[in-house]
Amino acid sequence: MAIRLLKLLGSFIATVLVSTVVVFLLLRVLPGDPATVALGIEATTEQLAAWREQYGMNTPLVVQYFEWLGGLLRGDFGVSYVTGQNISPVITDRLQVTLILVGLAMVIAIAVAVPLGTIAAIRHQRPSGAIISGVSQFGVAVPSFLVGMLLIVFFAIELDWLPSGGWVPPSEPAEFLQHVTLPVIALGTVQASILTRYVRSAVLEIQREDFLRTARSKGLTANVALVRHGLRNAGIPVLTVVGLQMAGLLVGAVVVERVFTIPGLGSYLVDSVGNRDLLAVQAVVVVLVIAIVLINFLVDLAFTLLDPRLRRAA
Amino acid sequence: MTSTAHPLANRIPVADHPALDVSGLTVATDEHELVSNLTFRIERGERVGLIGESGSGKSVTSLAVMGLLPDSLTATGRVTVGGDDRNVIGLGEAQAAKLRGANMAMVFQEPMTALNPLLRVGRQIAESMLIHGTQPDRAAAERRAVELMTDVGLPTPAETARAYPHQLSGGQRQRVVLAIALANDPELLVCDEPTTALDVTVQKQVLKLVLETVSRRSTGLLFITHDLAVVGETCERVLVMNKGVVVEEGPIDRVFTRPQHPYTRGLLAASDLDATDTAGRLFTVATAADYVLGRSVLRTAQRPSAPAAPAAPAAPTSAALVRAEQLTKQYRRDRTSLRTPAPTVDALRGVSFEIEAGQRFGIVGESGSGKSTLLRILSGLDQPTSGTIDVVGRRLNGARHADLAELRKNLQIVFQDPMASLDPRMRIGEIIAEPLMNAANLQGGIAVSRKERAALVAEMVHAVGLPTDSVERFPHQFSGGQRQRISIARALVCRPRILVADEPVSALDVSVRAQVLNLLADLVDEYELTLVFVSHDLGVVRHLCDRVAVMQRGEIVEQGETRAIYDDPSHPYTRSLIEATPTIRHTQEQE
Repeated sequence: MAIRLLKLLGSFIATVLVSTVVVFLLLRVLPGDPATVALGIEATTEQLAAWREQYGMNTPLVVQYFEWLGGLLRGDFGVSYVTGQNISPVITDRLQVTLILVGLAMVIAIAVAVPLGTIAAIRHQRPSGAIISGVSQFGVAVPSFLVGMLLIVFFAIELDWLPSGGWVPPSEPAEFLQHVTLPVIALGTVQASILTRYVRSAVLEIQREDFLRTARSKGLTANVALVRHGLRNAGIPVLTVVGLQMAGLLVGAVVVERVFTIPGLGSYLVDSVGNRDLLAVQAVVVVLVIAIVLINFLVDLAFTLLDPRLRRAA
Repeated sequence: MTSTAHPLANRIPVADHPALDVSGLTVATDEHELVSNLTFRIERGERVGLIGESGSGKSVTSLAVMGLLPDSLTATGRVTVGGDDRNVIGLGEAQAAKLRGANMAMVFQEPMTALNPLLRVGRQIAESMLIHGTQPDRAAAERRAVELMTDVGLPTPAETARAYPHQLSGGQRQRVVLAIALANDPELLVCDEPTTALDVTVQKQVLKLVLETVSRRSTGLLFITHDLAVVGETCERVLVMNKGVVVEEGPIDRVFTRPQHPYTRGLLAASDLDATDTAGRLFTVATAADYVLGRSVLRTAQRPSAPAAPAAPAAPTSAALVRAEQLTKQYRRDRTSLRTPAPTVDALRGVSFEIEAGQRFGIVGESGSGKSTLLRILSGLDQPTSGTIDVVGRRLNGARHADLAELRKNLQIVFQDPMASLDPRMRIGEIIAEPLMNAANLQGGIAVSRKERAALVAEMVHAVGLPTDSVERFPHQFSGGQRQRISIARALVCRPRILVADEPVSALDVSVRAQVLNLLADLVDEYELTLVFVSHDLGVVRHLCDRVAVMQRGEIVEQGETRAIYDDPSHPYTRSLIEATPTIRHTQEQE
């Protein structure tokens, strides 16, 4: 167990370090001079040099990297060349918004997909199973921004029950819930459809397992055997998909953030790319990488807790 | 052991109701019947064997009795278990579940997958009692589980109860499954091939345990298997099933010595690896008419074209086609603790042997004996840690890829599982022709033309006894025995000098097994092959091989002429293997 934890932790740290190097170098080799972007094409050579001096961009790349990495470890992402703002507080705010959106969407997705997928598997030869299967197939095909726009048209414009966009932090619960409902449903339904299909196939697979037959031979009915012995086993492949979905949503939520004009991390990334705000892009990408690697780390950790075969030396 | 549930059960030899009463049981798919109008009874404490080959309907029968038939099958007829007069057929899942695990219980074929991998085994045993309320609470049930584990002979039951299934061996897991089945003292125990996946020595222990348990508890036993020898050592009465119909039933002694039905006779003949016809071939169902029950004829004694095996000692070094000296192989496992170094596993510990041209060399051993590792090294798929191995004059250890191509030309393999070892999307003709696409595989070293390839393939298809039009078909259109013929054709198409067969018949039915073994023997003679035959089944090796090496824990504990070793084994392990192997001869001779 200890060995496995150390291995997981080691690979977590190594992945993050390597990814900072890659992100740093990738953005340096991209065409486009940040000094020119910041000062405009009429700037003189002296002005450009002075700008580079001010932002520490006249030193060798290695030095720049370590200065940036050092800041990163202290939680300091530096100051944007473009807006002159401190990047760290912006990232903190935006990340919080995105995490709430993604977290709630995944909670809804799991809450919907696990029961529906299980029912679809148990009744795969009956009409109810086929209907769930068909609807989830349809849900996979519909993009989340379209769901979002339909929700706005129906619930915000036609019925006027909920606001069509904007963001209120959870410190004001009533307002927060009103604003968060539609975007979370827009994200959650699509993810729920995808996950339902994975749950269905995982449960179908597990139904063929010998140990379920053993459980039934002990005196459990087929359905109780499936719930008691099957679902936890089926959970292992499903968890992998949940991890991938969350990682994908961190950036993928940007589409829904745009539809509902929510200031999330993805929107910040898109804006910063448009502004050639190199430091901000670098910061967002590194934060995303860390978040995604962290999600994978947690999924691996969950596997270890779920499956005794993975903790050989308990 | 104290039977708490039925204190009087052990003392009443004949109860007023049978353990199992089946009448007019018919199970069918939409298209055809799998079991037709089956009727039989098992009295309390009676042990009844149900014998049949794959597709005979024996497993479907066991599932029908347990109320576990899949929804795609429909069943009619009447099945009652113990004192409960409800018909299991058509009972409905909720009612049937109340009977399962209480009145009747089942032990399955594959112990490796029969237990939930995520739960401790003690809890899985306890669950049986909690479902039926035979123990008041979890603590009591888990205490009783430990007692049951003692009953089924698990070492250190209290600790084993806290183990997960993957920490136990196959034999231990099967004991756990048996403990689950016995937890509520059922009146009927159904065993579906319970020892087929186990090593012979473990099989012997598990069979003994089942026997003792059912006699002590007066449990009715329905024992389903394809292996006649196992039934002979376990049951009192036997039903022989073929294509969904019981063709013969009666006491074991009578059925095994005076079979009435030709199919029973055929099964007995094909199972008897000691008996051969006048041409020295094993009997099949088709040739069983000439089979004389209980007459021992040792095939090795009279093989017509026996190569100069007795003369071999004269020139022991010159003719050796394969020579292994002090082979060792170590595997390093993943570290499991911070303080101790990564554990190593010694798969082979100094294995030496020689195989001469034309010899039939058997390698016998149980799981974990190192025979698979040895086979991988011999076929160039793996490298030894130390020692040397030469095949047809070429050193294999340290050999590069190009050198190994030379080896493949001389040595081809037939694998164990004919269902999994053929690419399902290739036609048979393509499968057999594939080795010819590699120029290095051909004796002349030149790739043949398409036309020549087709001719070579057609010749092999004919040689292994498949119809000519097989080349156009796909693997799923063939039975297990036919697929093994395809594997043999693929191995022989580039005319190797050595044929390595890795458990080639252990996945096959007995009647098919005899056919494939006869085919192998014929081809070895016809193509002047040197055969390396790896098996866990002593009977098969005894029939086919001139020399045998017995492996245990990475070592060859004994090797020599097959007959000498079987008649007079010197190593205790060889002796225990021979003793543990059930034979129908044993049952017949008791008569």
